[in-house]
Amino acid sequence: MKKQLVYLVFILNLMIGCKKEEQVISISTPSSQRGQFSVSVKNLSNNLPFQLGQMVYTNNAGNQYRLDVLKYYLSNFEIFEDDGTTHKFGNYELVDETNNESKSFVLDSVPSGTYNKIKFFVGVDSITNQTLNNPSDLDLSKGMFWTWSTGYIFLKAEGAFIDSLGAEKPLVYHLGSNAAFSAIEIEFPAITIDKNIQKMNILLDVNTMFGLNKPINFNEYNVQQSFPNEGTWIEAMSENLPPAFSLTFED
Amino acid sequence: MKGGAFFLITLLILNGCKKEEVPDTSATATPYNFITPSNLPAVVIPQNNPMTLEGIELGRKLFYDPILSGNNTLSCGSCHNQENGFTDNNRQFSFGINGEVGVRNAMPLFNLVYDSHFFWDGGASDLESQVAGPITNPIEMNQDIGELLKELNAHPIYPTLFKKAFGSLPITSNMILKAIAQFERTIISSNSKFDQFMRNEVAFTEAETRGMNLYNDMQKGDCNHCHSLGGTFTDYDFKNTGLDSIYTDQGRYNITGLQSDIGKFKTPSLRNIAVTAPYMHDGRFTTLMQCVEHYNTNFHYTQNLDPVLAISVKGRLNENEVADIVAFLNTLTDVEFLNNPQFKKP
Repeated sequence: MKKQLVYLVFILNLMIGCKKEEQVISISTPSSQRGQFSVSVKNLSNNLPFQLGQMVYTNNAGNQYRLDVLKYYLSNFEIFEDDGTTHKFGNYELVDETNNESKSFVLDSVPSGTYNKIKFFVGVDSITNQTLNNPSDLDLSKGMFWTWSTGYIFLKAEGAFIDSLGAEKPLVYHLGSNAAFSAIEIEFPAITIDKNIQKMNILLDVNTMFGLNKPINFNEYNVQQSFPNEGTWIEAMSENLPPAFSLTFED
Repeated sequence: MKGGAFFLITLLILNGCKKEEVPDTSATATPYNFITPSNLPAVVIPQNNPMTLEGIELGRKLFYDPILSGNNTLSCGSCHNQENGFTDNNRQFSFGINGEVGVRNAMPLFNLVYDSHFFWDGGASDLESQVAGPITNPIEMNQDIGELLKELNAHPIYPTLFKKAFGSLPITSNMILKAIAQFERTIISSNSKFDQFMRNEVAFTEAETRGMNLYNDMQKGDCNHCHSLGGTFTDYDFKNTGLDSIYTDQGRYNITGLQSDIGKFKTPSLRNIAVTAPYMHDGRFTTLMQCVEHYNTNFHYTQNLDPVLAISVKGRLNENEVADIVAFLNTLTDVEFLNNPQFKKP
């Protein structure tokens, strides 16, 4: 009896120890008492999956092009309840077109409620962006950083395009700097979360990313590294990104 | 049997705990007590990288290990030699792993704990981020970080050392940055002849005393304006010192894009200046005499020229006064720092 009591106390202590740790963790790794959004990101062109390595796309400026690399950070997710309450998430997600695993992630620990809006950013916020000393998807092994001027490459689109003389030229878009941190806000018909998993698709139309009404001409901007003197291009990309994103839900 | 069940439950709970375990350095690593020398300002250690004995020792090992370079031939220490105040053996430009040559002079490494911008143009906004620069630069150590992590994680010794320092595995890139930055923050220089003179432990020669007075004299050397006498011997600012009429390397402008930053470079500390030749961001001067003569007579009236220099009379120092200032600069050499065994290859 005494022995069992000792065990019980021991186990209780352990459990208390565990609980404390769980409370700390729950900021980023929440409990099963809440719901979640299971997010899939899809890169598209005309509602069809975007294919890397195919010189079959034409942007809205009329430039034929292909991409071999398409990677970008999505971060600072925030969801809005219909009464205006918001919930923020700590995710920094690197979406890499070549890596299916990277295109799925979870916005976890969603409190029960009715939601009608999501906000997120393309890129990395200015506080996180002032150091490369960061974990997980922000690890340097992901190859999304500059060292000559500390900061993350928010979006990499690399490939080639056919220039005005008909020649194939390299297309290198490395978008970054705090000015390029672009908010995406999407409203949607109310969805109720009650401890369930809700599938959400975030769709990026690649052509729209290069501009719809004010398209970027690749003859003018083709090798871009977000140097301080590339403000015009950075501004254009930041304006083009929000309309390029849309949202669908699956049951 | 009942005891067995309890034991099993206990084990399960223990396992549950283990999976949820948050890397907690403080639990395993020993906090490092940073003792600020009395003649240097108070230090602020960044909260995202607390210093530990294990982290510092690991950083020191990494600093001197060529494993950090693409073909395992160069370490940080290859171009940052302690005897030269951690500059590159009096070379103007350093060689990369494939023999390429850089465009700027390797910077000295000491009292970095006080700095908030690194590289000659201040492009790196903290010491951790700076570390990633030379390691990945194609014309320097040319390392692929993914490859480096594979090498380190498969290494017979490193995983144990990283676990001790940071409490978790696998090794990630930010652990490398943190460890090296921790080691670099311990590299302090504060005991030059000048410091001993200030503590009344040694006497200055007449030339040294005259030099110090000229250093401070606003009508003469006026070095004090940017290289503040005592403490760190720098204002940590970026200045255009009229090295050229037109700058090919535009310095700080490359980072900020501000026209007013064209031709501006970091004010380096003048501590240990006698052993860190050659001088300026591009190592164009080989002697201290040339440096003083530049500020005395040879500077160019260029766009963004530092306003203090712009109103300084050319030729205000005579030959003897230039020599006196150089004599004073030679008192800033810290022999204890240059030989400190704690900074040497472990």
